[in-house]
Amino acid sequence: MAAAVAAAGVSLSLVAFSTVASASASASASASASVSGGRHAAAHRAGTADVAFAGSLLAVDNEVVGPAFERATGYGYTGRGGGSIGLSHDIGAGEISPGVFESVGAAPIAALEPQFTRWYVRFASSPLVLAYNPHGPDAAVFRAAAQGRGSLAAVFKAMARPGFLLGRTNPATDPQGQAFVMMVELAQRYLHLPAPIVDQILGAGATTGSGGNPSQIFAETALDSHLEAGQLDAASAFLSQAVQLHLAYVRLPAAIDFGDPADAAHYASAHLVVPAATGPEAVVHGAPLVVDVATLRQPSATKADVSASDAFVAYLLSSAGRRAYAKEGFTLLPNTLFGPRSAVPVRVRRELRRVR
Amino acid sequence: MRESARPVPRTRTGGDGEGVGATRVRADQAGLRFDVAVDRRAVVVQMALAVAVGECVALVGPSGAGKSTVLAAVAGLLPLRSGSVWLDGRPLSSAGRRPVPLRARRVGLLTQRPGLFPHLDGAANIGYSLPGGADHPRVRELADVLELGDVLAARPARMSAGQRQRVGLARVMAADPRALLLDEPFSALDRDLRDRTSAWVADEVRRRQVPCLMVTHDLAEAQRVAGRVAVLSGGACLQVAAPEAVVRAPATRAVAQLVGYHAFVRAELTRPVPSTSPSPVPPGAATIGVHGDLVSLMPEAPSKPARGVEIIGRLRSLAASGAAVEAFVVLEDGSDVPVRLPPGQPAPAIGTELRLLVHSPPCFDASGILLHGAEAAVPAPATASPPRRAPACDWTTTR
Amino acid sequence: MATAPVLHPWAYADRRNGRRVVGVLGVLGALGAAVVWLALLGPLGALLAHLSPSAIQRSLSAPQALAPLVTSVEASAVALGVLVAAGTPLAWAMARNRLPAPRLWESGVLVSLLMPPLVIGLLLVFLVGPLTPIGRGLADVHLSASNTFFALAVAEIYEAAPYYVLGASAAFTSVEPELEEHARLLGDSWWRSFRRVTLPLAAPGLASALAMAWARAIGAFGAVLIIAYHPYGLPMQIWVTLQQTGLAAALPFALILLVVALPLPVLAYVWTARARVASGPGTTVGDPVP
Repeated sequence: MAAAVAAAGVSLSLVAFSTVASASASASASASASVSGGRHAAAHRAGTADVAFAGSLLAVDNEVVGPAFERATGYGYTGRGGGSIGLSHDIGAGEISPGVFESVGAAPIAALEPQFTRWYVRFASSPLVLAYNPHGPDAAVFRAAAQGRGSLAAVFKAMARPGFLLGRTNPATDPQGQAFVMMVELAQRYLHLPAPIVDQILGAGATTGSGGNPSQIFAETALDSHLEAGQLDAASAFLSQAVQLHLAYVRLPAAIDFGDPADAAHYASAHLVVPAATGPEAVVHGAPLVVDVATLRQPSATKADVSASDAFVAYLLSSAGRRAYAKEGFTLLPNTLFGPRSAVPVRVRRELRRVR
Repeated sequence: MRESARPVPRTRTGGDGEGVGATRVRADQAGLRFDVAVDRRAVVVQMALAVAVGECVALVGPSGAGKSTVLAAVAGLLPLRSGSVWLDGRPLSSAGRRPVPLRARRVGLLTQRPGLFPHLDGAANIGYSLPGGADHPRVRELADVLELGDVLAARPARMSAGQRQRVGLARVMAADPRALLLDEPFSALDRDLRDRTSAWVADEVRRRQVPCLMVTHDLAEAQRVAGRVAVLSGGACLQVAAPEAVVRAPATRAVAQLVGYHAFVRAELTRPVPSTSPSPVPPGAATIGVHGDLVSLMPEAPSKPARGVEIIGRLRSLAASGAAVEAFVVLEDGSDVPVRLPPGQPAPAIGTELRLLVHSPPCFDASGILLHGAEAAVPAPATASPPRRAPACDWTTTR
Repeated sequence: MATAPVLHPWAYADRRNGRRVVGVLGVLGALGAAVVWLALLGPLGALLAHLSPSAIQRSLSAPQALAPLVTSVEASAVALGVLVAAGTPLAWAMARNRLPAPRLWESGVLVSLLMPPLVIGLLLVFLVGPLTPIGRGLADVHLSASNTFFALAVAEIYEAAPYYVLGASAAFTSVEPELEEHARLLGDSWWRSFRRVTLPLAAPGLASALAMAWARAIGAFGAVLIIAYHPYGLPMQIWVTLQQTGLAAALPFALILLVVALPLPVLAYVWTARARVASGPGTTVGDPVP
């Protein structure tokens, strides 16, 4: 209780020399953190880490890492989720100005170089799984495969059945949606299935620009709820989502689940023409579904916010942050820097050194 | 309501043996007949009446008496608690049964707010029920009679209250209803127009041979248009009779008050005039009613024999009333009676004790019921044998 | 049909307090109105400021670029048709208290009004998803309420229905039942009096309700996002384009949405205002209140 009062007192004095909006936001956040965090709470500090992240990271960031970061460092935290590609567009257009960007796949961050950043660190991967409806007509096939008793080929053959209700996200806007299409491509070769099965599962032309069967495409937010409501037989999912939402799922071999950077060359053998409603068509090659993070230079950010952002990335890459990711179903990778070491903030650089 | 409380026979009634001169309107006869009880704001409005074709009956009574409620019930706008409504031998409503739908009732209802259609002009309102609508020749005829030529092309919003009322009347008449229900139909008209319009309505009722029930608060208007008056108060019908009969022989003290009796004097304080004659106050009478129009100063030397009773009062004040002078006289019960002084006489001094002659006063028993005494100023029921309680309203009432 | 005479703030002040207050209230009123108006138009200004002709051309010249427009208009027309057919009787019954437990019905409509569209979409998954009893029934007649035109129309109906039903109910309430009774006593059947009296008098209000429902339907997004990702209507097209290529490419579709959605409400508004002038102030019954 005393800590809470003290934190409130500090926050009141802070309003004077920080921007009103960020200071009051961090004040309330840290006040609540210190109440719940009890004696572990660090002294409150000015500055808020404004984090934009891929939608699939929402649960782990907002519910686990964010609050833990606030307790550990005393900085404030605000998070927003969205499609990585969409977020990258918004940041580039100046619509939003987060200090930290966590993306699935490096491309959305790379698109912001060099104006916003010149580096990123890869620290986890997010393998694809097949979530399935445990009460669906083909549930037995999926369950057998999930328990290692049945064949994976049977699962893909079941998905090719006419009338099978498959859900996946939009390959035009979501890396997971793209990866899922290429995963089916890889699976066809890996499991020696007949070539037409790709179109039978995804709808005609899924890899060549039509997007495939449009009734399979759902918004990221809608996909899980359709599966949870039992209105799909199976759906694309990240392992982390399946774990967090307690979905029934089938793990896929590393060779096709886009979760292992060591298989990057193999993944790249799959490709996809991104369906384009308005923009130019683009060919995407398979790449591991890795989680990359970078701090972004925002001209509007205060010095305190910049240090909060640096501290957040450092915390994320520390053993505490990585443990949280592992617990939520991500596959940890060694912290790997892409870009010039000199461009990395000192605090983040220290964290890289420590883990190595 | 004692007699009328009995159920209305659904089949033809028997012969007319009730009394000499009594005209019973039977279920299968032309005209409007109803015996209804309706719930209205915690009060039960109850009334029974028969209106013959070509007859107009005026509903009078204080506001809140239930007059408009009776019209609405007969029109079919309110569910009946009990009873039924018949028109020209056809049942329109019966409690607990599905009423004849509004469109098939052929009842013309003019409500106090005439309910004109605001999106239609005067002609279209009048011709609403006619094939061809505003272009039907009857629209022009009615507009001419009711002096509405100016507003045929105007929307109701642009009309005066009087014009709206007449457009409403014309609209009802254009539909050629088999019964007319008019609620204060002339209230918004100035006197000349009111006289012309009410005379026209009375003519139309006779010419078209339809029954007409008309709400009014004006007894004089009722006398001009209606053959009979029904007095309503507190949801109950107190009396149905010719207008003169209601004034000269109000069935109860309550009716008497409603039709202009100012004071009620204890019977023992009256003396018969002339003193040699038998008293016009029958035995058992508790009070006599004093009406402003039926009281005068006792003439010093009666040129012709006056009949009535004498009462004593004290002059309280004098006031000019047109060309005459009105004296306000305090009676023994403390009530004021205005007495018109004969012209050309010097006014008595204030405080003077005055002898007043009350012409043919109605006499009431202790419970306020009219006693038919020797007044006989109006044709009492042929079977009257004094003293007898007068009948209140009933659809079988004589006329 | 606005039956109550609209008291202009100026007129009100004039009547109550005389000239001096008129000025103060007038200026304050005008100022407030201007602020609100500018605030409401702010996003439109931003839209026009950020639109470049080249972006419009690029966005709209792509093959199938106008398909979402067609989809949106068609789905909204279907939604409106269903609402008029099914919502009008409900609105009338609510206005005339013809329903048992009227408060219950009103609450039901209000609940759907208060529920965030996204939540409506999520609940629709449980209600009409392909594996629910209703979904199976739909499948028997070759319909699916998941990622189909039908699903889009259903989502739009759910988002627009409360606006239409409540608006239409208010429109019917403004028509005094006495007028209908008079029409019927004058020989009209129920349906004829409805057509000749109720409908013309309620028409301006019904038009407003319809315009509102139209705008809600064509702009529906929350429930659409959940159950009708495909086929793209305009709002979905804006969302997907924003995600895929960014704001500049998405804005032209916002302009189209505005251009398509706006005329009907504007027409309805103009007509309502004219109808009000034509029948004069406070004239539903056309009588003075005694």
